[in-house]
Amino acid sequence: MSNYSPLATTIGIWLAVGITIAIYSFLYKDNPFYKLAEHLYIGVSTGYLIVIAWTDSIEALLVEPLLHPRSSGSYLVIIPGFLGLLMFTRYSKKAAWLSRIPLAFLIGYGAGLAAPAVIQASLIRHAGITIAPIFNPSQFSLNPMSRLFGILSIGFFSTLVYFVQTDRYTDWGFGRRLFIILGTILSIVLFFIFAIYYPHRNLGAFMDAFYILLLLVGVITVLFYFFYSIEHKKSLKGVAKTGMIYLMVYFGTSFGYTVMARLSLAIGRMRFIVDDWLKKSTTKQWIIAIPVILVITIVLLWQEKASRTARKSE
Amino acid sequence: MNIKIINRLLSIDRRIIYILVAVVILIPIIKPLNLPVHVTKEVLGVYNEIDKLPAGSRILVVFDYEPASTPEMDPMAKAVVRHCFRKQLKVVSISYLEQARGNAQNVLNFVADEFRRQGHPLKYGEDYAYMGFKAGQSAMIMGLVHDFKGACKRDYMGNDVYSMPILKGIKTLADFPYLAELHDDSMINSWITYGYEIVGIKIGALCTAIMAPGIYANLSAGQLTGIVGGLKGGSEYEKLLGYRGVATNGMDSQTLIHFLIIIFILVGNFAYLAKERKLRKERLR
Repeated sequence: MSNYSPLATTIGIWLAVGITIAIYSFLYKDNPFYKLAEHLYIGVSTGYLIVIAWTDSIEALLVEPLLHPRSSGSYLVIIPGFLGLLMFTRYSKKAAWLSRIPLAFLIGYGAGLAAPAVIQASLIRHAGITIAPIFNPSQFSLNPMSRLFGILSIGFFSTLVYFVQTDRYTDWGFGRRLFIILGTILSIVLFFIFAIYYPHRNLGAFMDAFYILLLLVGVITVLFYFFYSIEHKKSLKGVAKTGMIYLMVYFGTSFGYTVMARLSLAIGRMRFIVDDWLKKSTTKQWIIAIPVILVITIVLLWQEKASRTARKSE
Repeated sequence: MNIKIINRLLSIDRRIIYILVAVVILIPIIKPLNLPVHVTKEVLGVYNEIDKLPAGSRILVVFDYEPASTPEMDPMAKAVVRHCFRKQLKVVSISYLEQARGNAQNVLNFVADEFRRQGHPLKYGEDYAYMGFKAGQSAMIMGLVHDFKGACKRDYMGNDVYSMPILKGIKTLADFPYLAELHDDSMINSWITYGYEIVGIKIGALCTAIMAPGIYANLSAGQLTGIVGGLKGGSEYEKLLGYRGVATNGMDSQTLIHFLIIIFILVGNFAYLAKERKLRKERLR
């Protein structure tokens, strides 16, 4: 049940549909209808924000405690109120320095409040997850096959580290380099299969270990990608490239989600046009709307023509 | 392939693409396809936490999205509020974004009216309440952490929150067993930083698809119980509640458009590669 009268709802729907079509008309090319909708949007949203800022912030948190104090402490709002007013001194060149006082207060308060909490929430908590054990020891067992692939993976990995360290890795042919890299990856994967999955047939535990390993590799390689003190050349290029692949995957995911989000908005508008307007509009409404639309169109086109003529004469 | 066809494929007018997208969106709106929806564990993480709350519990639903995001956010907001009312939970709402005020009012009134029509006499101030927009973001959250009513003072209609039955016994943010944050911006970070880390309140993130990838790290870190992301998340939530709503129907259009976009990408790339091949051959000649 709407809080508004049927007439207000009908006018609102027609107005919303008109503005939606005017905004979408920009897809064809820039036009006066789009400009009208754009200006309306800016004006209405600014007015709306001012009203909300007054009713829900200034009136509720500053004016009301002073007019109807709950306790003597209510008068303390004078201090932040005064600090807020100091921000307006920016309009005077002589008194502009006073606006630094509330800014200093805001920065000091904000930094003091944020520093410990943000470090805990964004750094310590996330670092803790990154350095979590790769596998649950209770779901891990060494059998002959896992031992074999464990030794192989250590062997391949040691070879990789040795050649990276001595910088002779690039002298090797493509085939040999591929053999060492793929050998290392395959041995590690097979080690995990036999150590975690094979005895217990627990795919969940195996996948958990796999994801944590992926996360660990991602964190190290992406951090290395942004580490510019060493030139990313020869064998180190591979590490940086792996980091870049991780970043590309993230960008791709984000972009995919963004496309999905934007299309959701288009779907929402289309649904509104079909369900709330086309299906519910009556002949009477159309009879009233058509002349109004025509008048708006004529006024806008006339205004556009007039401004174009004025530009030409200039 | 003929070079003329390749060039034509590479220079399709963007307006033709817009028309195709519009047509593909409209088909399922006019004739729903009823494609299946699969529920992911991220959405279950939010649903289960709300579902296991005992009747009469208070839940904090935060509306932090602009009117521009309503096509994506309203379906999931309505689904969550419906879920709360079905479970007889008391919904306390608040916003930290000025523009979100109207959205919160619309969603709460819409769902409350729906339940009233079904014979559930929901009362404002007893079963649900909206505190309105509160300025200050992180400072205001800290205010709620120390003194919920003192920070809110009055609701969006100017009622004194101290006399509201729904807030009886609520002293701080920690008195709420769960917080559902509906957002299209980065406000979730403030709730995690000051809400979860300081008082340990459980948080479920309900956000636009754009915001979802960025908060998966918080989900992995255990700072969130789940994520309901975009129209897809909304459709999953609707499935869990047992109805096909706006989000589920919207996913029909979404699926078709995704197919169309994949076709565009493939055609564009094939045409580009074919042209490159032709040009290389011509250069060799």
